[in-house]
Amino acid sequence: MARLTVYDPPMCCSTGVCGPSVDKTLVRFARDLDWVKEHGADVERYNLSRQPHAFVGNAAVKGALREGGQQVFAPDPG
Amino acid sequence: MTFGNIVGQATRYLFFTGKGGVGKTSLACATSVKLADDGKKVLLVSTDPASNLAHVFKTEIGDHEPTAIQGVANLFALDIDPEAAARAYRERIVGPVRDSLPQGVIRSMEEQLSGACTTEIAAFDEFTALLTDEQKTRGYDHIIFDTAPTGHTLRLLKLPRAWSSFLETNHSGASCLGPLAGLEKQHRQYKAAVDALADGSRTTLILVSRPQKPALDEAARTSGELAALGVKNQRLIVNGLMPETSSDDPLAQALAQRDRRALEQLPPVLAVLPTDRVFLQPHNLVGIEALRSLGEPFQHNPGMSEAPASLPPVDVPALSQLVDRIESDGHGLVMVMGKGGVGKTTIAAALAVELVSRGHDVHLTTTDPAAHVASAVDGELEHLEVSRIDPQVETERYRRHVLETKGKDLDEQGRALLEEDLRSPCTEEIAVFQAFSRVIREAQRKFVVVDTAPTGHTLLLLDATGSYHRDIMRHAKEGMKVVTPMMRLQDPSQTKMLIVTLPETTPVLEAAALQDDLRRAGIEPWAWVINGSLAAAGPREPLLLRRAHAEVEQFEKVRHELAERTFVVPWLAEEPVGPDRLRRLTGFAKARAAETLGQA
Repeated sequence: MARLTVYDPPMCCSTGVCGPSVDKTLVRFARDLDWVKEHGADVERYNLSRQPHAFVGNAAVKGALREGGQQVFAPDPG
Repeated sequence: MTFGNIVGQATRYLFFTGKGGVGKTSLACATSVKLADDGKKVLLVSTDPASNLAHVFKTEIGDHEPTAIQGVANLFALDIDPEAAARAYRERIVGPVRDSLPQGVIRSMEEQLSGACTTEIAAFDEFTALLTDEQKTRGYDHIIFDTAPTGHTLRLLKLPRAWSSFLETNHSGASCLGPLAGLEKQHRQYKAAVDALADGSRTTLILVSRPQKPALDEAARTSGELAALGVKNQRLIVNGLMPETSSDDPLAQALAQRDRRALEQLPPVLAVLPTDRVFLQPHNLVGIEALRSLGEPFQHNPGMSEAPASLPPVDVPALSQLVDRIESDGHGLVMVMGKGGVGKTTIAAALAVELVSRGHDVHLTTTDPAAHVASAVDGELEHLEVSRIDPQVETERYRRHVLETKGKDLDEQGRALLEEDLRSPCTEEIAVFQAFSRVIREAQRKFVVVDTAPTGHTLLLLDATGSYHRDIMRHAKEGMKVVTPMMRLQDPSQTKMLIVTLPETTPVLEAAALQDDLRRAGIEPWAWVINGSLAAAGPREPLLLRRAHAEVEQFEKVRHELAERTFVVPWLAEEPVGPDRLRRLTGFAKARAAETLGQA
């Protein structure tokens, strides 16, 4: 079974008023995640301001954060 | 004096609620003293970050164990600082990973958890303990709180989705509640607390208001919101009433008339509540003797015989001097900020009108809901453009947009949570600020005066990850110097942030908190404006003279501890509608100086 883990930037509210603005990419992404789940994949999603231990516990993710900081989360411009 | 009714019918829990400065703390303290004097064992709890309980009782009050109050047998007090609770809560999340992640990331995580929402939840955490933990409250006949949870918080905590594992693995990620895992109590305890609040035989909600329409409207709104949540045992206290007076002082007459009218026109939802009236006191309610005297009829208040004969000096410049300084830059953004009800719209309009009279081009943008001030200057003066932003319209537009995009794919419960999140105060801040942003750009060429501003917390969150920042970065050309909106706000030659307050204890404390918040965002407020000053208005009537003297302490605090520059605006009998009245506001100092010279 495929496993997909998503690491989100810190957000204080689901609206993202306190974080990234309502981003169509994020919304599409959420729908895609659902599709993947429905088709049998095991999906887990972590938020940096709620489950930071998950980020620190994954060597690749932790490394990416240490290299690139917050920018690592920014969606591609353009 | 009907103050005794509250005491006679007091349920076990009493919650005082109302905006900052209406008198919640004083009245909660006075009620506690009265009940204790009647032989009841009372625990008085403050969870207000702007609390001055220690100041009122003139003694240190602890935050873990109740402190016995000297001089009042049976009275104990607890001063809980929700900011400290919020810090502890932040630390539980961030602490374990602080050394493993870069500083920038840690700062961002901490900022997410540094808003008013977090403090509100931390405060509710404390309420819950006291409402449900038998151990902590055994032996007390009454537990009195000087603040109450908001309708928004209660609604959030009632949503099933707020508690289910949805929050752990859902696709929208987070909620205003933040990581509930950071809270210490269990779901069932919160449920028990909410139930206790809605039980009229155990809890009374006491709405405190001043005899002014905005405060009464706010109290009416709170009453409706909380009644809808089942908190139906409510009472009203109208505080700070001007007693009828035989003095020929026009200020005293105007105040008495205004207060009388406010009572005659109470919002319907308040008019049906058992109501108590408390008059303006000659001195601030500090110390047990003053608190005890609150129940007594006005004439017998101690100290009235020593009414001062003259006004206290007001060594603070008037608004016209503030305009002198603003004017010297030739253009720029002026943001007038402060808690609701302090007079931001009036000050913004007065500044705009004065700038125009001096020959400048000004764009005034206002959120004035009643539209009096704005429409009265709109179209009146050349070189003055007025835009109105209706916060409700903007917020509704923003909410709909978010619900249509993010909310589309959520199930019913997820959507309910999203909808409630969007009722958070943050949402209105963002919606309004986004509406302003078009106007703000004009500040490069003219003066733009705005009667509101988002908090430092919101600005920080918008800046780091918001669309502003991304847009600017996206369009920046190679080698071009990039100026983000945030940098513009931080530069005092481009933006002057003004903080407006009233010369009273809690409003000054709240304004100081706004200032700290702005400083965290790298913005140094440029000046403070003390609005509604009786001392500056020059009353003659003895009670008002005493109130004028009572303002001095707050003036000193603002001038010496809080503000770089301080300006003052007098209390006015009527809202200054129209350019002429507004111009008088800025120039009052000349009028007052003439008066003082004429006095014996």
